[in-house]
Amino acid sequence: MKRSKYFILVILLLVTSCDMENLIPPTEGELVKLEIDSPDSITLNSGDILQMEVRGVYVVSNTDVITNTGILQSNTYYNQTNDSSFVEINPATVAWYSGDQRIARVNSGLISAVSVGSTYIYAKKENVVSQKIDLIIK
Amino acid sequence: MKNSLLLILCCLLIVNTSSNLFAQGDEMPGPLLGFSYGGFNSLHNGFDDIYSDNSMPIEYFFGVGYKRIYLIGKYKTYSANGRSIVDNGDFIGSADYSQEFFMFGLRFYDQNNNKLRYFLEFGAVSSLVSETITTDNRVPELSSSEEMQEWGFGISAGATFMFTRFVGISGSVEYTRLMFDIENGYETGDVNLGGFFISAGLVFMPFSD
Repeated sequence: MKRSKYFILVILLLVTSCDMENLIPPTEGELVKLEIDSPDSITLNSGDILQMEVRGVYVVSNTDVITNTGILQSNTYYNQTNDSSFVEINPATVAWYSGDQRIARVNSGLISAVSVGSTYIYAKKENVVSQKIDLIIK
Repeated sequence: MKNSLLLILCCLLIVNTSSNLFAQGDEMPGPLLGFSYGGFNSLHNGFDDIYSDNSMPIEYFFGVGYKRIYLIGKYKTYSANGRSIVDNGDFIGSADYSQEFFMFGLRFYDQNNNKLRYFLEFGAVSSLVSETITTDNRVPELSSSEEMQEWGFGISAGATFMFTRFVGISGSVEYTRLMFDIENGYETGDVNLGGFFISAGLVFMPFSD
């Protein structure tokens, strides 16, 4: 019994570490798009909670300096390339906003349905704003 | 090609004129005319890194001399092509090079009546160099042409063997020093684009008793 507990613990640790890797944004590059992983509209009952996930598109710009050299001359060409990557972002590192705190609150991506009505939420990171998600609380 | 034909015509004219003028006496100046074929080795440090397919130039020369001293003019064109050096890119560079040499100087023979005659030569050299570089993907920013002209000097040593009274074979080694001020290239600053030219050919020396 004790062994199986340890086995489960190791498995959990492995799964957690894998998830953490996905949540680490690249150290270089610029965030150009923030996207909440959700349909455009969500319906919740008052008192419900829902964890949202968020992704970002990071762009890394590289400039290759290419030279072509002969005996009498040398030419230089600056070749710019953009590499983009789609990365899952830890919701706790993103600022979350609710259109009406009396209807729904959102903190670290966790939506709490407070009272009946409709509002919206969105996220913001590094001056990049996500799409708005409509919330209907019944 | 046009230049070569023009030069040959000029030489023939000089030979003809001088023959007519000086055919009367043994002590009169006589013409000299010839060509030689050989290999040119550039003294530029990076030349072989870029150019691998080099031509064997033909040098045309003519002169007028008295006994052992000749006033001489020479012309040759050297061309080469190869691969320009591309850094940091997956492109293949290409390069075409052409260099013209005009030399005007004096040739001194050790004697004027033996079949085998040794000579020394020196003079001023004018050289016109042109180069075009590009890449296989034809990026305009990486393609360009450059042309430069410079003066220098040349010295040469060789021998002539007259197998008839007027016609002989000739071999020589020539060194040219041509310092070009290159601002942006494989080497920058004053760069010597001269070299060694080892050649052999025919020489015509009418009235060279």
